[in-house]
Amino acid sequence: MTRYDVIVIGGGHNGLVCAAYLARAGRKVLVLERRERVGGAAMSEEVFPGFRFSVFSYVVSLLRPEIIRDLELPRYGLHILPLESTLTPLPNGDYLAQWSDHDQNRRELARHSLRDAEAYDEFGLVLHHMARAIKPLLAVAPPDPTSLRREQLFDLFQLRTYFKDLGTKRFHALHKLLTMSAADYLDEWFETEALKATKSASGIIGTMLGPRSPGTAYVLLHHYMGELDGVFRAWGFARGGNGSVSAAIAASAQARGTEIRTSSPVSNVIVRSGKVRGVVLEGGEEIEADLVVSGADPRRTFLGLVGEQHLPGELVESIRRFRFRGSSAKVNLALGELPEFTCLPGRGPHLRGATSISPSVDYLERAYDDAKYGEISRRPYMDIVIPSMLDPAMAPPGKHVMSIFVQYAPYHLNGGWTDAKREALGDAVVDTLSEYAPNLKGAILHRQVVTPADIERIVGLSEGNIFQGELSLQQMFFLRPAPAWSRYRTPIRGLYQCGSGTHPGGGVMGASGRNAAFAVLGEPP
Amino acid sequence: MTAVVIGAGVDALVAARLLSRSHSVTVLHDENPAEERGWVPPPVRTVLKNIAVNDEEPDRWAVAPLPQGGRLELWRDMGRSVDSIHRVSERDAARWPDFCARMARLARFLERIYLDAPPDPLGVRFAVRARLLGKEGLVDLMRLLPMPIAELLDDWFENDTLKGILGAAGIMGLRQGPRSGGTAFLFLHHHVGSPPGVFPPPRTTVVSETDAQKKKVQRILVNEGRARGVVLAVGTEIAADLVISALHPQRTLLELVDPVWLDPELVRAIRHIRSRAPAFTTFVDAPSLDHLERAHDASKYGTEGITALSPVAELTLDQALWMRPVPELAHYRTPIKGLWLCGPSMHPGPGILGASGYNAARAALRG
Repeated sequence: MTRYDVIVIGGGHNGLVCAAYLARAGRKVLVLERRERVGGAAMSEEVFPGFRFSVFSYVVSLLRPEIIRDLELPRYGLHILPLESTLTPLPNGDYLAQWSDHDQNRRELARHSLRDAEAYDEFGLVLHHMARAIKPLLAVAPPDPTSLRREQLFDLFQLRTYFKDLGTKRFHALHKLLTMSAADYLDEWFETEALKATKSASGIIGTMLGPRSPGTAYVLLHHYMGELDGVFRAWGFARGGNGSVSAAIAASAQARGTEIRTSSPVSNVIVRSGKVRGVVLEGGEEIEADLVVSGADPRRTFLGLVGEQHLPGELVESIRRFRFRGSSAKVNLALGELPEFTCLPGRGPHLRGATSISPSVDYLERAYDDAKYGEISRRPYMDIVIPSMLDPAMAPPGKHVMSIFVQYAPYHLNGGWTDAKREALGDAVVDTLSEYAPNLKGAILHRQVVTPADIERIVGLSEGNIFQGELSLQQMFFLRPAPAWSRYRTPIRGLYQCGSGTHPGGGVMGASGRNAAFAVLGEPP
Repeated sequence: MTAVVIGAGVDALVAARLLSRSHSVTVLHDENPAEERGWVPPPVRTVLKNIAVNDEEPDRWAVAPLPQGGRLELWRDMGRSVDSIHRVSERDAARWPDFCARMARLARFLERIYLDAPPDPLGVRFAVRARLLGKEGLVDLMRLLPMPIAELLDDWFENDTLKGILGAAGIMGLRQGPRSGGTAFLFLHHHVGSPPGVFPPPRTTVVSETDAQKKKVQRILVNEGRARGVVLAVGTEIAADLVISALHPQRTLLELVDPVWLDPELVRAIRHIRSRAPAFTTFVDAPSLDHLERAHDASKYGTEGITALSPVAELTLDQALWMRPVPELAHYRTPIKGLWLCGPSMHPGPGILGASGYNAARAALRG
């Protein structure tokens, strides 16, 4: 029987990244995936004959460039196509478009507000500097500020030096960005409602917070972090859908000797006298290893796979308090023809970019109001892309696929999720979008609605949270997923975590998987 | 040496009294001194001797009707509160003493920070202080500050009425609902100065009838980057070596001072200080968190948000501690030499009576 150095539970993108880095360092790695294919929430599927969808996550924004480089992902089939614009249709028949071309963008903004057009460049510069300041923290294993151990104190001191070196001005700017609401932050810069709303929308994705709630501003940075790396601004689309991201990482890992077993759900981690010994599959098969890395979310890892009996009470309590509360849904449409937006008719370049239904901050806030009392947003926020415009292979000739990210669709829905509620969500989305593109209803050939409950059931993300736990300030850095356990380790010797539920988490970034691999190897990333 | 203090509140009074030990002080204000409520820290109390300070400490600090009939009552006496909570939830009653102890520990931490200029978050002193909270206390602090009060209360309790009562302390004076981030910090802020288990803001009242002259200040005189005194609305000039203003920083620096003396970036930051009128200005016995949240919903839309202003800078995490009201002014000092700021819009914020006056005057005297 093959003896493995490391078992990675879960073949999501972070698990695969972690496995690939471990394999690269010469470890014999086995990845165990519950489903019949790898990718977790980053996967593509031919949902309807001829129509391929990135069923869950649908854009590549933050995939770390060092991962792309280290794992040679382009060699294994990763090809990112840029999304070059964001169109925000407005109820009055006008629109706001943001273009990647600087001059075009400026002209368009000036049409709405000269002041905003002026402020835009400075805003970009400030956020660019902030993004640069915060970027190194993505590759840090957050120390435990309560620990008195020497290496932890040393890392803490280094962190302090790092912040000191930023200078007080930047430190304060960072403080503001971390603690403000997206709406308040943008109010300091701009006056165009659609601009503020479309930008603040990035701050609410995956959370149960509205754009006016403090703590939503810092996500604005993410977009600029993408730009910093030169990955076609922040947003790109992987040819073949987001499944090809996972496929490329998996291929890279396999080329380095990693073994991947699909349809192999792990039932529990074997723990003996505080040390990990391997895993048991649901079929009863035991696989031994001295090192196990879990890519599952913190709740499933600690309360499911490990079990409370092996863990200190404090950690169990922290994990119970870790908030998931999925709030995002997907609606995937197979279309017989392209949508015709009233505000910008015809087959323009805007169809190759994203479309954002976010006409005003009030609109988003009202969508949130519905959700916080347990209802689907009557008029939800939507982020729409038409992947077949960039990659025609996604749909039959002349036909198209449309991917609609929807918020808010609370996991904790009054009365729970039923088939009827799922369709009601689909209707709310199609109805709202039809107000801007009246031909949509007639163009729909098939419709797939994915609720947070579906995400939980299919992908295994607790409460359908797309980040494996809310990315709110009280669940970040030192505290992700639990105080004192933010460095990918666990109280069980030999058991590590590598999912989005660890720092920095969120999005198809891969940083958690990479940092975890270095933690396992005992090296700094 | 001469000094002018502008403002009618306790902060102005405390600053004036501290300065009068070495300066000849003129206090000027254009509004009637209002009764102020809050917590009077012990050093401020010493300065306020012979001023009417009335402590009001009701034994029963909350009474809320229960949906099933009867009332939930919370008392200064821990045992009585536990008994009352016990009738609605055994679990909550069992958790109450621990909750109170942990909140009190954090409030004491803030209390110490409040009696001095804001700390340096990267400084050794602050780090040592935070460490002295112990492991549990430090984790509580890091976790709690950015949290919505609703989440904190959901972590601890199950009874809606109990959560409603406590939640009110998290949003009082702030245009946010209990589900907004940073409201757990406000909850702690309001707990400062109260004994464990008493969560409404302290209600000690001070009527600062002073030797102040009711005269409207028109302008602060600045010459060669230094405050030289003030000009009254009637035209009289009063020369001073030191000017301390307890007015809103926007009024002091954008109206009374000619902005040419300020860096445009600072002017912009001052203009962006948020002081929006809240849904609740006083502590209410709310029946549930949803009740508070819906009251906030009603206040957050439309133009009223722009027009309705509160006289005090909001106490949100980006306008608190070393960020209050903007980082450049957090140490009471302004770029104009000899001009200092105090008042509830400065650190430590509303409800801590006289503390900013105390801190600012001491800073000004040190120079």
